[in-house]
Amino acid sequence: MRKLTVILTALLAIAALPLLAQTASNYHYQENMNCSDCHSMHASAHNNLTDGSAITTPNTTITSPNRTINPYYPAPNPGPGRSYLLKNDDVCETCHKDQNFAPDVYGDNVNAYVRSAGGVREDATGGGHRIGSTVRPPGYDGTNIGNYFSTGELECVSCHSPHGSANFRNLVPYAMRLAITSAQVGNVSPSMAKAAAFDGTKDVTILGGNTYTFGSGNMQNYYGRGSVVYSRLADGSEVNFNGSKSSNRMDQFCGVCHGEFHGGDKTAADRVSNGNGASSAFVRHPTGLVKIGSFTVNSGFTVASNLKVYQAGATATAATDSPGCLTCHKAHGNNNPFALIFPSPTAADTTEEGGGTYKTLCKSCHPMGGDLAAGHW
Amino acid sequence: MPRSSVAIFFITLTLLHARAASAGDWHYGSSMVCSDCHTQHNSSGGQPMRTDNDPTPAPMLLLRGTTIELCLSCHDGSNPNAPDVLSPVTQTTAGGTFPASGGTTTDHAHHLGAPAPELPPGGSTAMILSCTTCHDPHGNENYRNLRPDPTRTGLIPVSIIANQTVHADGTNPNQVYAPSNIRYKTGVSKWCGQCHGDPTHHSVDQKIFGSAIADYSVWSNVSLPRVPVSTPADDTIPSTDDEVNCLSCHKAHGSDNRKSTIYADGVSIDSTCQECHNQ
Repeated sequence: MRKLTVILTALLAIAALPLLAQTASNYHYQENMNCSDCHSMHASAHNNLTDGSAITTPNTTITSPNRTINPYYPAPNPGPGRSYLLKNDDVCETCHKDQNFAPDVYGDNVNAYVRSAGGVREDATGGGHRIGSTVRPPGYDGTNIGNYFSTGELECVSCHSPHGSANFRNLVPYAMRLAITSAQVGNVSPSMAKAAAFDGTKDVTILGGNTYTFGSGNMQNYYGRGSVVYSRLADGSEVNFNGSKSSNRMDQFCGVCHGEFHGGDKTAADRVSNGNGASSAFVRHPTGLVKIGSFTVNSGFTVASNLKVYQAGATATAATDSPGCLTCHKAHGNNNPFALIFPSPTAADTTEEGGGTYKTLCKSCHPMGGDLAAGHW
Repeated sequence: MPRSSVAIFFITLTLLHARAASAGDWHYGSSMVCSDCHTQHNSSGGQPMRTDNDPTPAPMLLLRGTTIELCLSCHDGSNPNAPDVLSPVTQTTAGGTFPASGGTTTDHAHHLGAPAPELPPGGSTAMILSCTTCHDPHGNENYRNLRPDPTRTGLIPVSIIANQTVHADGTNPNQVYAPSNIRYKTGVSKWCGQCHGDPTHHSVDQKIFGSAIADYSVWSNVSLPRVPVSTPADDTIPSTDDEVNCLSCHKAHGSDNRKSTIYADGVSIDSTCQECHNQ
């Protein structure tokens, strides 16, 4: 009987592993993907690792613990010598540019949904993070990052770990980790919950992410704007980094590169003001700490879902919620300057740029200069 | 033209007229953007964001150290597209000018930036004045973006209603602030009274026509530049509905004369008095 119990327990544990992994992790992490999806082990003759023909069909079925369909996709390596034995110079593009089986994160979305992060830029069009840029980040304070990963350019892996992590969207201060102490890493790593309901103990909740199946679900349900809720960590639970204090680690993550756009004079108690706590004393627009309800919210702004604030509860509430970096900016980019979101105050936005104006962004929280409801956009 | 079209035409005209009366001015609605005056993130790499190149962060994330400095960065005559309120001026200014006194208050203008709160003549609320005491920098629905209660003590709001044929478009101060473009209808004296109390000397908001003290025949035959009056019933000046208001004798901002008074002939206050009075 005892042996049977042990066997049953072991079987149950094994059966539960995929569920646990699914709950805790992102794609690219743990059982998802194979090393050979991105890397070539031998850079073999003609680099066609199977029957000599190019592999053009991606994996669309994810099995656990390993995938079995077309493990050599994205493509045969046309030649050896790439960095890290990668199969493609821009290996991220292979799956994440203009494809419909994985989130499209380059430029405008080829899939019909509003992405939470928008799309990175590759040319001079629009605003946001520009892949390949060698320009120092706006707000770069020179103390926390030495350079970008590998080539000195901004790459996807500057922010995202290609090997996955338990953090939201596999975000890690990857390129900068040498400059960040192990004690600091936790404060710049956004935690994540995949749950049916808002989890205020984590930095981000992917609503319904606990039941989402990679590769078979609607991407909007995982990567769409409506699926992501940022939390405002409870008073007293804020995290510090580089002299800044924030109620959501997303802001601290952004602050790794954009340090001078983040936090205040670094010595004031609230770390955002000049020291006296008065609104007039802010060194810069506060993120993730000051409650919007401290000020009057524009009554004309009626579509709360068009802007992502850092919420204290399941429902966005001005009195308790805070603005953060991602309230105003798309993390990757969009077609507005500085990847700003110009929310429509009166209708649900169907684009990542938003249906409003620059002023509707500011006036969503600040009522000065005329009522949005009166059309003063 | 169908009868319905005629009706729509006149309704539209009526609405346009109403907008002209109280639709706000520049700085309001879709004119200007927040970053014209504020910085969101402040400096990058220690670079100053203020327009005076001072790297010190300013209150309210302003691009200048004080509101007065910020306002004057456009309204000091350096920007031909913005009304110039700093003496000497090269363009028409309906509100008159502030002296370039280097921060020292004078009796020629409202005392901006006084070192300590001052009691307005006739008033009861001591204040330190800045441009934004009277004008809402973010704009509002009132003439010249004037605050309905500049004392911010909970007074009953007062708005000035004025008709303007030409509205500010960011390029045309000479047309907008020309006296011929402005027809005060109501509220001027009551608005001034928010700070200065009810007038206890010269009467205001009284018709010149039919007055036992004033002389309409004199007013209707003025040869000097006319002082402003309210004209509530029509837009014609002179006409029998013309009323004296505070701005008939004083410039709102200031002038070259004591108490911000207007000298109609440029020489003496008597010439101003003589536009209405036959003494």
